[in-house]
Amino acid sequence: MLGICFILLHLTRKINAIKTTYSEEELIVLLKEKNETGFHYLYDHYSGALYGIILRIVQSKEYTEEVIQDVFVKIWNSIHQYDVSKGRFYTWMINIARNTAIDYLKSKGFQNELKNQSLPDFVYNTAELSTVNNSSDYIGFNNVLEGLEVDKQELINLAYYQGYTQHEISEKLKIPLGTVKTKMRNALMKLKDLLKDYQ
Amino acid sequence: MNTKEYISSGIIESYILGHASPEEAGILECVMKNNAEVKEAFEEAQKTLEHLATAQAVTPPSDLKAKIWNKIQQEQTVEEVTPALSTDISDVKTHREITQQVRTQTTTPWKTYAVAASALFLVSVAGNLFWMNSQSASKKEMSLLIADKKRQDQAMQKMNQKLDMFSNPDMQMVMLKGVEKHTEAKAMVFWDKKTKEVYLNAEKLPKAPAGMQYQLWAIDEGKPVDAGMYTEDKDSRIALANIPKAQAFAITLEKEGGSKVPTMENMFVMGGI
Repeated sequence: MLGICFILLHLTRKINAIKTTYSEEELIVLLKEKNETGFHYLYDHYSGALYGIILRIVQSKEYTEEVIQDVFVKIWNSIHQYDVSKGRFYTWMINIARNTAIDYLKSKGFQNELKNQSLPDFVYNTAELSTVNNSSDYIGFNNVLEGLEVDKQELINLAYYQGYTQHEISEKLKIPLGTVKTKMRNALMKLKDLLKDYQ
Repeated sequence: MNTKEYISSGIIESYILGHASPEEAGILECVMKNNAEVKEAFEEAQKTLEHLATAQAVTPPSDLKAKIWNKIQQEQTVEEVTPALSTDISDVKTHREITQQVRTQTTTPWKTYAVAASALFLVSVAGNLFWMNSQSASKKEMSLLIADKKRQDQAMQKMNQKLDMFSNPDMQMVMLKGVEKHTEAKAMVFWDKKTKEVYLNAEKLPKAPAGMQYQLWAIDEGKPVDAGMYTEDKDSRIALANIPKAQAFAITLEKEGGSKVPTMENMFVMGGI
């Protein structure tokens, strides 16, 4: 009996090693087992997206490299805390990346600097980013948000990339809190339409 | 508030961005379990932000993967090494104790017995003292835990009563919005169409100052009718009044115990049916 189990286990391991696509559920199982194949799959499929988010938040390649290492270690170590009833796995990872990057800036005392910076220079000017880091790594540096109206861009940038709470947004843009919430929803609905072209 | 209004209020987006309060989050998580439309909207909103992340991906430097894998492995080996060391030490210790015991036994048996007996006695006295101490400590801890559990149960019960309100099909919900002076204020009236009882959720109103209390008014054909005094304890659980007919509700801040007619300049929120 034990022998059979052993053989089966080996077989499934072999199959897993050959297999090249996993569903989110399968990937989570692999990660919980601390399986190296799981790590490779995780990295190959999500590092670009997470790197992009972090880079947009910390605005420096050097910082991004530091932050993304922490992010992957956090995903690896806290995979048991992921709760499928509270959201999708990819979204969970995105939020770890956002929070880690925003906390990193705070710890470096950059948060205020960022918040005081006038938005248009920093947010909409992707050309600035690509000239600062003049490397081929920036091929494919899309700014999808540019397709949105300016007020929607600003809202998403404040909430998503700069870690503003809705109260802070309400104060900054001088609009009521309830309006912030509905505007945010409208902005995301527009974004959804926009993203159809990218898939 | 119906499902459509709930979804378009933007609560789902707040939750995903990590901005929802624990109470809002708790309600959303519960609603999602029972309402496929809300759940679907939640999935959609997540996917939008996931697509954004994918569309805006940036290729990381090629050596990053190896760096991260090394870091992960280093952390793991550190974790594994520490417990292994500590078990080794304790093994050595017990081994030494055993050899010592064996040696003493072979030399002078009666002395050893006497020493052993008194040592045992001391150990037992100490042990008893320690046990008594730890027992009273654990009793204390236990009663704290029980009190804590009671508190949680009560909070849970309150929460459940509020949730029942949401799912009761006879319940008509009336949103009261802040008037000019209090644009941020809002409250929700739950009006049971069967029993005609009126409940109020007013947690979003500022705390009433000492000696003052919020009073709910039902507006029937332009005339305000007293619809009861609000206290935090009653919030969304205990009916404030029985109102057979009304076209609107409003809340004013009044002196404790309430007034016969509403003080108009102290009106906070109002909403029509």
